[in-house]
Amino acid sequence: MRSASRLRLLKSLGGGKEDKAVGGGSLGSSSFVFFRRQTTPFKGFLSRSLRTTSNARDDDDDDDDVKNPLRRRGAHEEEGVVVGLEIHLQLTSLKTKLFSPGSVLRVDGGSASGSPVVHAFDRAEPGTLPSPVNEAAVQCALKLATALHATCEKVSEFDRKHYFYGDLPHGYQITQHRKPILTGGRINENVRVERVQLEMDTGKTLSSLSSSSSSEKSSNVVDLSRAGATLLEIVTKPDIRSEEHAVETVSDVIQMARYLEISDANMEDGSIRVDVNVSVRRRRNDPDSNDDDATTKSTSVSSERTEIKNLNSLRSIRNAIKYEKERHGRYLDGVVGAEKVERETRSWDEKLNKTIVLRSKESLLDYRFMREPDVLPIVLTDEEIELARNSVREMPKAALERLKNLGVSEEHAKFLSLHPSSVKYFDDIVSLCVIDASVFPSLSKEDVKSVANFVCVEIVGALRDAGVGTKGKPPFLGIESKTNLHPERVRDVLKSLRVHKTISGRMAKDVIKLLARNDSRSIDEILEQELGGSLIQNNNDSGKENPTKEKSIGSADEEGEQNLDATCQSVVQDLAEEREAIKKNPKVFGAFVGEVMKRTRGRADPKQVSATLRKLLDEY
Amino acid sequence: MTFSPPLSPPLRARGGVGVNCKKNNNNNAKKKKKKKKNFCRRFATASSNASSSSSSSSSSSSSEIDGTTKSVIKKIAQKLQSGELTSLRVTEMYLKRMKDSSLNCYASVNEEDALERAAEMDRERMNPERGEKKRSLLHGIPIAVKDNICTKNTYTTAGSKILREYRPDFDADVVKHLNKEGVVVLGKTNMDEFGMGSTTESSAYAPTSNPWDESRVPGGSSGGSAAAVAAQLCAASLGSDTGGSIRQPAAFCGTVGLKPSYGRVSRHGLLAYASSFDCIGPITSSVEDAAILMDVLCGNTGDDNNSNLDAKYFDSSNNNSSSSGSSSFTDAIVSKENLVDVAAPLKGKTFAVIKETFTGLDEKVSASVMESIELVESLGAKVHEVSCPTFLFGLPAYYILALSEASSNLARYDGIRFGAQDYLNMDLVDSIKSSRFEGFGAEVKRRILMGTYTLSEGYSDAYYKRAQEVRRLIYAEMTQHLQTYDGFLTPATSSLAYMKNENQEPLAMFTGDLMTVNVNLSGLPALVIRSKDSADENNTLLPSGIQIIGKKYGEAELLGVGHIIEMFSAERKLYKDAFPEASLF
Repeated sequence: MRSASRLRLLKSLGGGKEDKAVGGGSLGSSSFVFFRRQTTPFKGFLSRSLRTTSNARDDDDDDDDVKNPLRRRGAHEEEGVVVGLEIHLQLTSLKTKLFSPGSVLRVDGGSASGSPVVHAFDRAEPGTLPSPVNEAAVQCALKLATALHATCEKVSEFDRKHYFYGDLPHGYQITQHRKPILTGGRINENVRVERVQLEMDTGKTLSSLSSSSSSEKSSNVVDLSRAGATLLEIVTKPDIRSEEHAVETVSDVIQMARYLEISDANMEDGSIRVDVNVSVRRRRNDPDSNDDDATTKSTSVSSERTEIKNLNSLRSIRNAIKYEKERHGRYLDGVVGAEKVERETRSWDEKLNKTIVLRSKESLLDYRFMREPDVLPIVLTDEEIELARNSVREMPKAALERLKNLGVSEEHAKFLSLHPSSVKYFDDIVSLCVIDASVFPSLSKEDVKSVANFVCVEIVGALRDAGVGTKGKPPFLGIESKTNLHPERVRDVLKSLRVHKTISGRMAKDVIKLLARNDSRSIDEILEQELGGSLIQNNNDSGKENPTKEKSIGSADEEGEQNLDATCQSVVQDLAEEREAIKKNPKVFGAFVGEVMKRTRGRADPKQVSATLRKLLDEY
Repeated sequence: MTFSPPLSPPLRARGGVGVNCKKNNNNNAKKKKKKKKNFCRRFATASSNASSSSSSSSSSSSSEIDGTTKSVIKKIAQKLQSGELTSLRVTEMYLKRMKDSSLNCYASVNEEDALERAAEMDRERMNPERGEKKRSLLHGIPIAVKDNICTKNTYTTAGSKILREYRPDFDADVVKHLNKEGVVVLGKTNMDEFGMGSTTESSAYAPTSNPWDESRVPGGSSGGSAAAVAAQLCAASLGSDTGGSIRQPAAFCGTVGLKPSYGRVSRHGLLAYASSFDCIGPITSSVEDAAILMDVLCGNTGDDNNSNLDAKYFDSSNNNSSSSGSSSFTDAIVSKENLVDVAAPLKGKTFAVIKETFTGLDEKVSASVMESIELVESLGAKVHEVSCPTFLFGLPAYYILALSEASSNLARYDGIRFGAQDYLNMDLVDSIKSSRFEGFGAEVKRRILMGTYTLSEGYSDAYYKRAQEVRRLIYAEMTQHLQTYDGFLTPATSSLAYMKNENQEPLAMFTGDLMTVNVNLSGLPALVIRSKDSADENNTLLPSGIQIIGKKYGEAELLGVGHIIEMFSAERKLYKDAFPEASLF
């Protein structure tokens, strides 16, 4: 949308100027004339008011009337707030930056690729050139295309967008102004996407580090570790009609990014940042209507678009739009003392709970877009686009539906579908239970619901209890490495609870709590040592066959033992890297156990596996 | 728009360059004979030299060093190999000459480093264990590098105050290549600030003088590099060419200058002026030296992916076959005794002379170029006159595009992260303003402002986009002619070297680049070699050059042709303070 509106403006402007400036054959015979024939005063182009930065107002068929802030619209248009979003996703899944081998900074402050975080190019060191565009970043864009149902452009190009600021080392940002990589598509039913572009991130201005040292004048410090990282900017059409709608749309993008595993999309970390464009429409009876068309007595007017930059929480998005909606409304309604609404850039002040002017209409920047001469266009083949499409996993909405159909309650389905790692964790447990046919002879909706309950209530509770994970982060991400609650163990607990009935629901909770604290003992051991033995042994009221025999297939008979030995042997052989690593870090042992359990589909006795593995590894 | 530039008198007098030659075969043959006679008389000394020395060098394998060569690099290499000289001794001699010179060719020289490096190369050469290894011709040879090419830990200022203190922490790709061959980097040569100028007067430090007449400029922006080679203050040098910055000073100083095809040589480590034009190339005292350097410059470092990027920028279709520099440039250099047809070594070649280049051309330059064109014909080549209607569009298009890119490329010099950080104790906007206001010279500021203007909203359609169209047209026209012809022959400059302080009017200065900018617009390679010297009003002999424009990636062919022309040209005047050890060289 940006480029479309710009082009239109330039066309209407350029026509006349072109002739004046270089027309009439001046190029040939008197080659330099047009340098001198500068008809417009110099100042004119530095602060032009004609710029259209974005989208909230650019419905395709209306004319930009710059002078009149109240713009007439067709009477058919509805009243209310009109919002468009520019959503910047930082691709935290990448190892290196968009145009340099500099490493992406991880949230924990580490380097994602192991190399230095700030490369000479990221500092805009003279003589440095951009590396060819990061292939992985292009892949991320293609994945997003699938989720957004956007069109992948076969050829997309990079441009330089110029402005001076402390956090912009080159003096320009490399972005895709004229030919973005994706066009069209939609985020949800109501919000269409205009374009998606790849671009370089800027540095981060840290406010006044030296305020503590009183002698120095307060100075800003710029952290360049983010400079050059990859952003995917999603620009929506002005389809949003309320602040809640805007928040919903951003949430959808967050979820999408996480499912696609292209970005953590955490607002507090800055890995997703949002600019909003707001204007308000009012229907009004037009008393001084110039056109004699008596039939259209009521026309609609619209306020100038305001851009609010760098909103970094859903709450501030909501509040900023609400604030602007009211501010624009007051102005349109002619409230006495209402602030004039002009086309300008504002920022949201969390403390004051209001927006403040960042750049006024007069000082809007001219970005002087120029084709980036140091970067080749991205050229995609049909095969590449198709390949990326096939690599995309289930999207949040689809996952939600599937879970509900399986029998998961609405509440838990929503909870699980929030993050792909949660869906995967749940899916793994269910499928393990299905493979081990004894747990769920026929998987009923009730069964699934109870597993979901167990996961969403008991396990989440145990994790919280154990202090694993951080608030706001997906609860089951990395659960295998932090706790002993990997899906196999959970399956075992469920089996003890539901099939063998060796534990009660209460005891299951206790077992889970211990496992959450990384307890590596088997469930039987925990039963024996912590909970006073299994229910069956205690009550001794079961007339059934002894279920412990069934519990660890492979441990009872000779044949099984040989099988296990063979499996362990092959695992030790296959995991060559881990074999090296275990010499330095005994914890790596878990990887071997895990692999054996995986290959035996969880049927082997972990204790026996451990023993066998230890023996084998010692021999190595 | 019509073009009717008058043919210059000499061209007319000869009755047209190409047309008449075809008209009458008999006549033509006669003419040729006559010319040949002429040629023999004129070049009597040169050919007798050749015959006498050819006997001395019995083996004529191309890798061997023969006595006839004009290659300074080969001559020094020979003495180094034989043990007559050491790298240290050669370096000391150059450093001493530098100190005695009043030309101000160098922006910075790190004497200690150069001597240390030379001694190290000597040790390497003397080392019996490594002695057997085939060593590069460039091993231990002192070479100068233009000050806008990054050299690790040594000053790289691009002639600008704003980079006064700048010492990069990496070597440019080309410097890496040279170092690998064992080159001794003597110092950084003076230049117009950021390459913006054609006189080396816009250097923030002091201007450089022309070795042939110190009241004149050496040209620019690689004026320091060209003057240093002409005045024998280094064996060879590197320059950079954005709109003629290698070729114009090479012509003014009477040296050889090659602007390679865009993308042939890695730009990594070259301080960008106009990214889609910038090229690094050699400035040398002979065509053979240029070929020796090109062999090294075109290498691929492997740790930088950009070497081939520029090639793709122009035509992504066929860059693989042509740009992969497997062929050697020195292979294209054929010594006289190895020529297949000594009488007509350029037989079968056809060159085009662009009619428009003779519009408003200085008479002396015109005469000099005409002599070279006659020589080319006498060597068996056909020369035709063609018209390139787009030719005169090149200059304005070039300045719009180059300055637009410059305004962008120079945005990074905000005085915050590198270079002279004089104004950090202010708020951001004031700091950037002061740094740029004080740090940039007048010419650079003028060009940034013009580039800012041509890129600004509402104007970029009229200027920038239009200029891009013109660029495409020029590229199309030139490449179309090159399907018929092996190359273009044009003057390298439209006048002899300017007097210092002569051109204060910036736009008049721009016109001086008329001959060279189209080559940059079209990304083609071009070689400048010295043509006949002309005497000025004070009877001072001044050199001028002829430019041969070749096909994309046709540097090897260009160097081959250039070498032949150079071999059969008359001996040119030596620099007044030529090496007292000239017998050695």
